[in-house]
Amino acid sequence: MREEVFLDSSKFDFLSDTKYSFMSERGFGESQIIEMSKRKSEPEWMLQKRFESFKAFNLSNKPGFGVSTESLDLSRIISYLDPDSERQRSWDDVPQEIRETFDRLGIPEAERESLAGVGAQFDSEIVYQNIRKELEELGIVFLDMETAVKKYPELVKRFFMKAVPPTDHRFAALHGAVWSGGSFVYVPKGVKVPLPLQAYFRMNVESSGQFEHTLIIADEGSDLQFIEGCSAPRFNDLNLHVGMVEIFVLKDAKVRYSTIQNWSKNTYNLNTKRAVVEEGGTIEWISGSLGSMKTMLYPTSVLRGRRARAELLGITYAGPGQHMDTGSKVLHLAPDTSSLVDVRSISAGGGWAFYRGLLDISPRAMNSRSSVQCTALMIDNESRADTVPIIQVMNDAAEVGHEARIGRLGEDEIFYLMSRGLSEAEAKTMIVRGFMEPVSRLLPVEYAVELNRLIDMEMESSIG
Amino acid sequence: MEMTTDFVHENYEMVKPPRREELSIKDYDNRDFLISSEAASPAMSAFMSNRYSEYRTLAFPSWKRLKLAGMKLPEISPRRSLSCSDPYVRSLISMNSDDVELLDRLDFEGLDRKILLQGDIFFSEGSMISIPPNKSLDNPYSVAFNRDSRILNNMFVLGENSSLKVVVDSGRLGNWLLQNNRFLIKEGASLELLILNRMIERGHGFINNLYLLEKNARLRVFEINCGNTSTASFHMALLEGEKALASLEPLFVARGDTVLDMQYVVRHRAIESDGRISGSGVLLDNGRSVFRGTIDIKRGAKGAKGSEHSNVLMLSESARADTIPSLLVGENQVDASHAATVGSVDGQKLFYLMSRGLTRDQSMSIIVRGAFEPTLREIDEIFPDHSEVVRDEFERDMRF
Repeated sequence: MREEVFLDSSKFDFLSDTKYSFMSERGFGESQIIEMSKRKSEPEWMLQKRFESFKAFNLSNKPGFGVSTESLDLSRIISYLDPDSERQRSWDDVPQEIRETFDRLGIPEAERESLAGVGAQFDSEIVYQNIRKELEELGIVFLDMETAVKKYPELVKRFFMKAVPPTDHRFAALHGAVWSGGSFVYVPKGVKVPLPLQAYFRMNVESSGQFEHTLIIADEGSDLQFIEGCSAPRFNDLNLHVGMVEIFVLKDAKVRYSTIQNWSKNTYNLNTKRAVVEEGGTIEWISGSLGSMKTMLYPTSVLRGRRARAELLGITYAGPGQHMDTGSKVLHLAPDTSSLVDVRSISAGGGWAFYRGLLDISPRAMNSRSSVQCTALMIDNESRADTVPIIQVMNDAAEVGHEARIGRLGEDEIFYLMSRGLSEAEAKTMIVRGFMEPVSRLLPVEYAVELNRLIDMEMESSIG
Repeated sequence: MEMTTDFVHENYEMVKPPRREELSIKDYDNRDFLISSEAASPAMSAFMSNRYSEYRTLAFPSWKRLKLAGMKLPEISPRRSLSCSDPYVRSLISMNSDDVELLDRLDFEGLDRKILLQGDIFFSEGSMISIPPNKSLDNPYSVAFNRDSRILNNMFVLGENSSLKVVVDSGRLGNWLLQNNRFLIKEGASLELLILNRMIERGHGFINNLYLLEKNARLRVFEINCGNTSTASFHMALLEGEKALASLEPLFVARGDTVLDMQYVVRHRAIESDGRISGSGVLLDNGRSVFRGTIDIKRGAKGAKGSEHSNVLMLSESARADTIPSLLVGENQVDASHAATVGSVDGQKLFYLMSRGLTRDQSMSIIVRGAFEPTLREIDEIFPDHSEVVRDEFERDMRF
């Protein structure tokens, strides 16, 4: 028991000694965009798309809600870093320092045991991408975004930034201008991917920004599980993560997207995730937000086709010095659609967990059903837990229910566990694990173990 | 000033939502101010000048949902002197400096700061009602609007262990009104309040109510929103003393093109305080409701209990219900929850009643009334003289 509680946080908090072949100037401007596009030898249309987004960025205002971004000085951020490495398909060919980084994070091990493919991104570029041969033969495409732009321009043009247009908000526009790296997945009609695909993102340089773009297209009747993990060592200056995930779930397809976010506690994590679900399709979001200093993240499900379905299970941990503004959005745009949101938060050591939700049942979404549940656990009274769901219903044939509860760790439960020989900290940790169990249950076992370890580490540092 | 939401925790701040777009309408000017502040006591005059200088810096909000564009403010005419034989009632305009200090202490943001200030300055009628300690008044104190008084500003002080019932009735006539009401409920005192918003002309109604509860104080508010006027109502209960209890129980019906924008906030600052918000509403035609219920528990309010509940029945495909139940918690030793439902009439219930020989409309009407009945029964009991009026209003509004 104790071994599991007291873990070494150096697992994530280490810095690797990596050489970079290129590092863009600090700040964001046309010159950085042109330079970046040139280094990636991008087609002209993508450069134009970047300019369009940059224009939208210049016209945009800061969001009128969420975490304060006053301390975020964009002119200090390095938008593009190219580690001195070609994209590799064999783990042994990845440069040693980078390989060591991912080895310490346990990525190759996970790949051997439970994944169909892995993409690993180090700062701005994917350094390793691999997919099992038999899956490739089924026509499944799993590539880094840059290669996809060149190899599948028609698919990329059709879907890239179509779920989240650059005009959506300020950080979507910034992302569109300087995106780099990320994964492209295409699952052909009727293909069921037997094992999850994974992408792992790592930031390794002080005041750098990571802007990976993940684009997933699940064609009709297909089935896919995708896992994303993120980490960075702790620096003195701020890091910025403005990633984007766009998922297109076509007719009767199903996608499960799982994330374990563990950015270091100096990171602004301003992330946009959106899925567009067509008739009979299903999107499942499983989201663990543990790291970062400030997060704004609201995975969005746009239920566009009849009988489309969304599920979101999320756990947010706000520890000392963390302001986590997380939530979910579900837009029911078609009849007979359904959604289920179950979000949980833990706040400890002065952290602030804020749940912000939007549920929108449009006039066309007759006979739609939705249930939203929020539960918050407060470890102490230095912390804060807020939930603010917005529910909009625009027809008379929908059923919507919402429930929320905020409370503390039960004294009886702690007492019981302590009477069985656990210390107070162990008892608390065990209760917190039980609280997150519905989320960890849905992750592959290696990731569930990882999630538990992370929570144990966090709990250890805040309740001692 | 008591702000509606606070945006800070430890060293972190949340982005404040931008102020609503500004509305350009003909506003009151210095001349109106002079008329309004005429005959004011020195203390009240200073208070009003103060508020007026803030008022002038702000514009009215355009408030898209409420469609305030084109709104006309009532004309300001000299205030009639209040002739009241009630020993507990005094005119607000002639309050002494101690009373004005209390008025100033009970300052809040309200629905919108501009609208609150408008009520504080340009009221056509304003009273201060002080109930002595240990006094229990059986008959409700009535606040009514007449043709000339469209802006009311009242302050109620309930002495220790006193009890009071108040009925505020908009009446059916008129198309514009604004009221600010402040209540200081001292230790052990109890207030029961019935608010009826039932004007039948299309127009606008605004309510800003603040309640401050000391130790063991009790508050129950029943607000009925019906009729054809679009109403924005704001109620904020501050539980400052231990074991204070506030219960806000609104009922509403929106039909035609009526918009109801309702906000109920219970803020807990004391140990073992108890806050409850429980709303029920029905939407017909193009009716639209916005129901914001907020339980806000501050650090230190150990053992506080807060619950919020809202149910909205949608009876028309072009109605629209927005529900925003917020739970803001800064203390871990609490029990806080909320639940909200939006839905239509249960098909099985309808089928059962129709199988017993009732028509569809009769069955609907029984089901819908069922949603309101528990609260209506409480009103029958506490305000027997008004129960008929309340029930009549619902009868009138809920024809299918």
